[in-house]
Amino acid sequence: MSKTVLALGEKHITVEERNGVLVVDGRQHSADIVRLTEGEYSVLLDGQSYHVLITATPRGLTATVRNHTVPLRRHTLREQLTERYASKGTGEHSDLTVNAPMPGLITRILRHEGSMVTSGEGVLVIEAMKMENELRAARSGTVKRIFVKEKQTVEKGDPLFSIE
Amino acid sequence: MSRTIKKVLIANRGEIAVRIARSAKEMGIATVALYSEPDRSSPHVLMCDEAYPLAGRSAVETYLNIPKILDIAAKSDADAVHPGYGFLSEKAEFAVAVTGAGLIFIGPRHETIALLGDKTAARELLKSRSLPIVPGTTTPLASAAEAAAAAASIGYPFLIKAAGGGGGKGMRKVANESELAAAMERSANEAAKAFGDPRVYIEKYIEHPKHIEIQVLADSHGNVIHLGERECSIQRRHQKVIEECPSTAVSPELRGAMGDAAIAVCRAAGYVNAATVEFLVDRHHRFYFLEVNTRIQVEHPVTEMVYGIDIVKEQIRIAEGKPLSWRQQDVVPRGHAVECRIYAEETDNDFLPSTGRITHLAPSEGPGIRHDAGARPGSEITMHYDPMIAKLIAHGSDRSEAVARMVRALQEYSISGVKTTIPFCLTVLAHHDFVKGSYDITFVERHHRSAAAPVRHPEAAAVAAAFVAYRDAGNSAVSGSGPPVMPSRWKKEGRR
Repeated sequence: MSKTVLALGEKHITVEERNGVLVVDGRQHSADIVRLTEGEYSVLLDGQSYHVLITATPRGLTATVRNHTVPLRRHTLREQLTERYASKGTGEHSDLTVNAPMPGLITRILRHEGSMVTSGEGVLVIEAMKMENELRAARSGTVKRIFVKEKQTVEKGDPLFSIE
Repeated sequence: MSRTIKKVLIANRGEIAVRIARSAKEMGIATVALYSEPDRSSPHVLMCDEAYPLAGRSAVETYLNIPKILDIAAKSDADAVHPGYGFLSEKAEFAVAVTGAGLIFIGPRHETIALLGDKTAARELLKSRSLPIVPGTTTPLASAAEAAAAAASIGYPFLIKAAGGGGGKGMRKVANESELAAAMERSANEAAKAFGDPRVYIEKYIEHPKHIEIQVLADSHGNVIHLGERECSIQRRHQKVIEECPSTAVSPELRGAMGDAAIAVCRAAGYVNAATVEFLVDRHHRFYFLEVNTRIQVEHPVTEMVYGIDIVKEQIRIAEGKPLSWRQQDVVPRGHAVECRIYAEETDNDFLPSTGRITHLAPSEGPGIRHDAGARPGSEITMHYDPMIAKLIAHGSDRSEAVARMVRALQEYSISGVKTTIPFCLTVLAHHDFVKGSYDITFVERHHRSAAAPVRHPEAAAVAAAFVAYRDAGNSAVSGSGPPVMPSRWKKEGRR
């Protein structure tokens, strides 16, 4: 019987069906599931009642259960292999790219490419909802690249600058 | 002079526009909504009797556009304008324009808004009446050098604040002189953007204060009463998230003293309509004036629940020239109320706005619960406006019942599409300092852990089960390069 691996936030779980029984991470569960509306389910799992929402957003699926909302992703076989063999090293020697934590407007760039920064120093200022937020270097190093210009609007996740 | 309001234009959006429309409808007053392009399907448009477009998306093009708003008021034959909170509510020039067009402005006189909106002028007024203000400057600062000189007399740390308005915009804490110049520049920039006024002043930083405010009602016949306090110390980014009424820190004696001070402030300013007088209260129960908000306050429902008074209706009656419906001795608190603001925010990512479409929203119901929402399923949370989705208010016979009711209601609240402050609020309500009521405005920075709690096994298993059903329902978003879809026999088994 085929297994599906799901990435639920930071957590990975395997789900499979064995002789008509739901098995999650090797544990058997009695489950009854009813679709309420699109993406909205009532799950009775071993007698416990869960209300689960599965939502398609532009950034992928999210799952909401008991006031937790986490990204939900199906892990492909290739990703599982890549992850197993990928180097875990993201230490002091590699570049660190800082991405926009929210959509907003770049109001000021405080450092230029090539300048030295120490951990905690501001590199640029992003404005959203009329609040200015200084984005700081997460560690000391050289500003290798600045990917944005002043007055540019950015989307969440856009790369802003990298530190070498 | 008394004039009856027959039709009110609500110059706002979101939950407060809905809130105002509800009271107006109960009073038999017709309602006119305004909407920007993204707000065409918003609840305030759906529920008002009439609705007119404000072409554009940004706040400046729409809800801040005085000529356009007055055009619509004339076209719709409204006789009054309610500004709500935020946007134009504390802009004296809006009150001038509204009354200049022959309409009733539901709020204080424009002179009062101008006086109290200038935070340094308000501090000067209080100082002249020997009312307690936070130590600091009462005139705007011209330069960093002047700030450094003032700092030398009041001492570090202190706060730089905007003279042109409140709400935490432009506010910066300065711990030592090396931070001063940069902090002042950033404050001035933020203040200029938020209020069109770059002037800043400084106030002594009071260690571990509570933020407690007094609700005041004042009519045009010289009657001024207070409706007790609201405790608003649970704040992030200097903005409130959880409020309650009454405060565990306020004894009847302190309530009396703060109420009298708030009334004195309003009398000194010649105030007419609803006001909120904000104070900081230190560990020794000394209170210091912070500012007056010359409008309806976001957290007004906790007062309404405890005092049984509809503050928006009272605002309308005052604007019509009627005397207050209550005398101070008739105003009696009953029970306890808590409000949680449900914002679209990533509480595990520094409370940054979480934009997106609300795909599902089923609010809590049941005893003692009030839900004031500005969004509905399908609503888009954009970066143009404040990301508040709704306010959830719980009333109980005492504090522990109100808090337990709020916890129950937050657990019951079902929403998806954006991340919200609900898990954060649940964490706060369960914290022993909150339960004891011994918290101050540093609570969030001291106790907030940004790492979200991991999903535990049974929840994860429930999600997995739902995911399988979701995929089997043919949702293409999940089909990947993985193994083929399996038929979910266990679902049928499970029902036997």
